[in-house]
Amino acid sequence: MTDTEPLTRDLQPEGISSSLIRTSDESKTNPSGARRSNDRMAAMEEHPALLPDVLVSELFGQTPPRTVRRNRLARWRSDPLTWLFVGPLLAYLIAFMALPSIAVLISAFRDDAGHFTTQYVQALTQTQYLLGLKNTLTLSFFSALIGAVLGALLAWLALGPGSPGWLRRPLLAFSGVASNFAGIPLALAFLMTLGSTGVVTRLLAGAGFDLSRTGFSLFNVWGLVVVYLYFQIPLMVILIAPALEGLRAEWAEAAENLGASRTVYWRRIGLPIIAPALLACATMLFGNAFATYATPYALTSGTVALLPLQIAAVMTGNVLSEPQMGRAIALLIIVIMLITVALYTYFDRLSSRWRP
Amino acid sequence: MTQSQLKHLHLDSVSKTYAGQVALHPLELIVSPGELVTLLGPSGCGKTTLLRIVAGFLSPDGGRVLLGGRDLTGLPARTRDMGMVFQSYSLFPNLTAGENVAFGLDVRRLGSAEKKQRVDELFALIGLGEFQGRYPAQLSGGQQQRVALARALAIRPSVLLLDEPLSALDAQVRLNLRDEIRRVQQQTGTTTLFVTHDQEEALAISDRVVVLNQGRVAQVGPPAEIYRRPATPFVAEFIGRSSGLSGQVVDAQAGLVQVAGLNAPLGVGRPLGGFSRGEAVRLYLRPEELRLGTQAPGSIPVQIRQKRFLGAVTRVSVGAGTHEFEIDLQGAQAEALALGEETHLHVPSGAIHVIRETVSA
Repeated sequence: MTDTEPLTRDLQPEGISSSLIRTSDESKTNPSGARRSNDRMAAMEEHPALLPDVLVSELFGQTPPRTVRRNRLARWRSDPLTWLFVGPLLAYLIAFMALPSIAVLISAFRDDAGHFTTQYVQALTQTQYLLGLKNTLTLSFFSALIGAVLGALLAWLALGPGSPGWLRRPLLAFSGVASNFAGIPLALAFLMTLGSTGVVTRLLAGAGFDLSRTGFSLFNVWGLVVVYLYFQIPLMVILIAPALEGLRAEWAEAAENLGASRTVYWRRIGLPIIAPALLACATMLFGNAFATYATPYALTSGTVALLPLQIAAVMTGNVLSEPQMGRAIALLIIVIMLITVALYTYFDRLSSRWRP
Repeated sequence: MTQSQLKHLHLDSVSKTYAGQVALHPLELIVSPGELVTLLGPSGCGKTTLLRIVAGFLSPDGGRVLLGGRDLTGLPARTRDMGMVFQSYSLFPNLTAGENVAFGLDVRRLGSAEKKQRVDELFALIGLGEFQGRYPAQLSGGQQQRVALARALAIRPSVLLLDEPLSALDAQVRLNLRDEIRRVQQQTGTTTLFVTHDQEEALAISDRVVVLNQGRVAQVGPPAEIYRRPATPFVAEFIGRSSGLSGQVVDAQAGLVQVAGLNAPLGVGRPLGGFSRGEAVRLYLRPEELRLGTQAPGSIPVQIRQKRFLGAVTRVSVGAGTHEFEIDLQGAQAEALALGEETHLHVPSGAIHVIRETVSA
């Protein structure tokens, strides 16, 4: 297994940004579009009977009739320009996502001779794989949760209303670098600072505080959570920034004007508006942590049971060469990712009824 | 409207400076209960700053904001009992129109029956009863601003603040909503401060207009007075169209002013009280008050230079030497005129407004 972190991180911000932008105010991001929509609204107010169904559905956010959806799809399919741009992306997704996933699914149920078997999938219930699943879920969940909360707070303090304008560029630039600073260099950096002979560890020891007595170690799941936060927090800052900047100051002012405290504003307006984006970003952080390989490998040399490390171990024959077992574990990862995406989609749909 | 809500708003020497730049010079204004006063002026004149000071979103550097004699200056916005409608549609996107209107009532913990009654009442008032369940994204701009108006009125504010609420709307919707805001304001009797840079809007909707220029009050008065008797050259040039001329008083008692380049003095049609002979003045002539015709005593020979069709009228520019006048003519009359044609400009007595050249702001 190769280290896929740089590839996934490069793709993730772009992949998520389109969905995040939907939470920002449309008239702000696309004033001409909003104006066009308003023109049509005004026309419809005067002559509702003159407007076609498709317009009604666009304007009122209702699900378009099936025939309209079919026509739209047909138009989309027959446009060569669409294929020029979407075609390569689809080909890429099929070649590097769909086909490998199908291959993993099939090969996880085949033995060396190519016959159907469930032995590898059943083997996932063995203690070491269950521990690997538990550790990976724990590491991914907590690094995503803490990273999402701290990253969102940092982004809000630095980019929210009233924050100094000059801070935006350096913060985003640093976040861009830090979110990609993973793998061997990150592991080495933490070893040199928080390792048993690290600079900070020795400084603390000099001040009479023995870090090892607290039970902290870089070489267990909680130590990895701390290391992962180094790239999870900046990644969250980058991902959540557009959504936070889409929170309009007028909403807070309108709420205040109507007598609401800051708490009431955040509970009823601010948080519900950015919740889909927060959830999307947290999901992305979860996925990011779940697939991380080089950093835990460099730090723990495989002593902590994590699913990506276990796949590598059985694929490379480090312990025992069992490629089918590796595919079974990969299948498990795919299933967990699908559940995560399904959860995100569910929550996202809850808020889609009010989004422009 | 209960008696307790009939409070006058008093801005007592309110001033504001941003980074050394004066946004508002000390300003005095009293808005009577039930009155609709418009703050009118070009961009950067301080009108929105003033409104935000009244709302409590900005602190003044000097002066006080008093409501019914109570000093609100240091109070946070949420305790000021004011309803505000913002320029851009600022409805909460995650709440339905009904929930938006009920928001202020929820904060005040109103009983559900009373709240429903109030919300229904307001939706009936703005004529959007069937839209209560829709989200803002499912409403047009005009509908959103109506809901925003209802939301601001729901809490029965002592003062309603409107910050250019029509500027993001299309022309026809703007006209309709403008009238509707006035109707609702009169119906509820809410004391209202309205900010706009659109002079037509200000003249159409207001009981009084406050014209602001560079952070100072240039003039305060009813719309007709602002239009017909501008106090300063700025007001005369900012409000409506007018042809401006510089001249000197030759006979104040007879109301005669000599304009350089014109053969005879122009007759203002009334004695120029307070003016002295030889004093430099500016003359303003509104295009709808001037006429073109044949030669007559006091008429000015002019040449047709330009014609612009504006729909109801055609604006004709005529020249007399270096001076240019604009005249609004009805369609048929304007069509009969050819560019370059020589004719005569008639200035009816009373059509000339005279202001001292030295008056500032």
